[in-house]
Amino acid sequence: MNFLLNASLSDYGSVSSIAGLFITAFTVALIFGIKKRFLFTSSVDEHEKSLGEIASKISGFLQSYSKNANDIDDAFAIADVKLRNIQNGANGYLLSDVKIARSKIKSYRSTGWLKRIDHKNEEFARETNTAINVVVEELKNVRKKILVGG
Amino acid sequence: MVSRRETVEIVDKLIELTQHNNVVWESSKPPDNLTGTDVRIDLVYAAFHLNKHIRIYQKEYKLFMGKSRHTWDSEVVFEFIDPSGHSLLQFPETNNVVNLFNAVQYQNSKVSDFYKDLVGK
Repeated sequence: MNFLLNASLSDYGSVSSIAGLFITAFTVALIFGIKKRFLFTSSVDEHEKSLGEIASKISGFLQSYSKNANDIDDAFAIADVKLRNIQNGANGYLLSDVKIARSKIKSYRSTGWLKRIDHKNEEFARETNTAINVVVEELKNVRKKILVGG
Repeated sequence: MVSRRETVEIVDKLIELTQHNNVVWESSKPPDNLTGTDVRIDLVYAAFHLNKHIRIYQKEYKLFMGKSRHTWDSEVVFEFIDPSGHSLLQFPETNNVVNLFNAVQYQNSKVSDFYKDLVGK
């Protein structure tokens, strides 16, 4: 209270300029958030289609896992890139599904002597592909929500 | 009601069982009540697994644009049926249902047997 009574015009100016700085930072963060959200919502359709195509391709490859193990590995790598893009703008259920799918892909593709459990097998590849298919279905939900303005 | 998430898991499990021939699908002509002038179905595939009858087919249907113009669209239907073939419950259409249909067609067409016979592997 004393500060307010004894403050000079210059003090008020300093406080206002600090407050202005915070408002500017907040506005910039808001603009980036809106931009990220806008970019995401405008590409949900494309994400759903491309990720669905990759999951279908992997499903076909799983017809013969031993023959197609390399192709499956490559397809998971591409799916991970797509999922990383989706993760940037996702929230809620979609974000948690994307994280689950990415962690499964990471476990499947990880190599090296530090690895305790070997996940590079058909069963885990199928489990990982199911996680990708769940993301595709969640993208479908998000698209529907966007269409009705949710 | 089965959720989409559950359907994805059920369908992916069935794809695995189909690809390993642990579930065998029999093809047959579609029953009359499924087809009509606006709906075309080539074949329906049915299987019996865990005491349940299941059926899958690709339905082509007329999509009307105005009164006289139309185009054909298609969807894959996956459902539980009773022993007489009546639909009991249709699963929600998910992306991987098409993959199941492809796996069923692949099993039914005996492509792998044809390949083995042809190439001798």
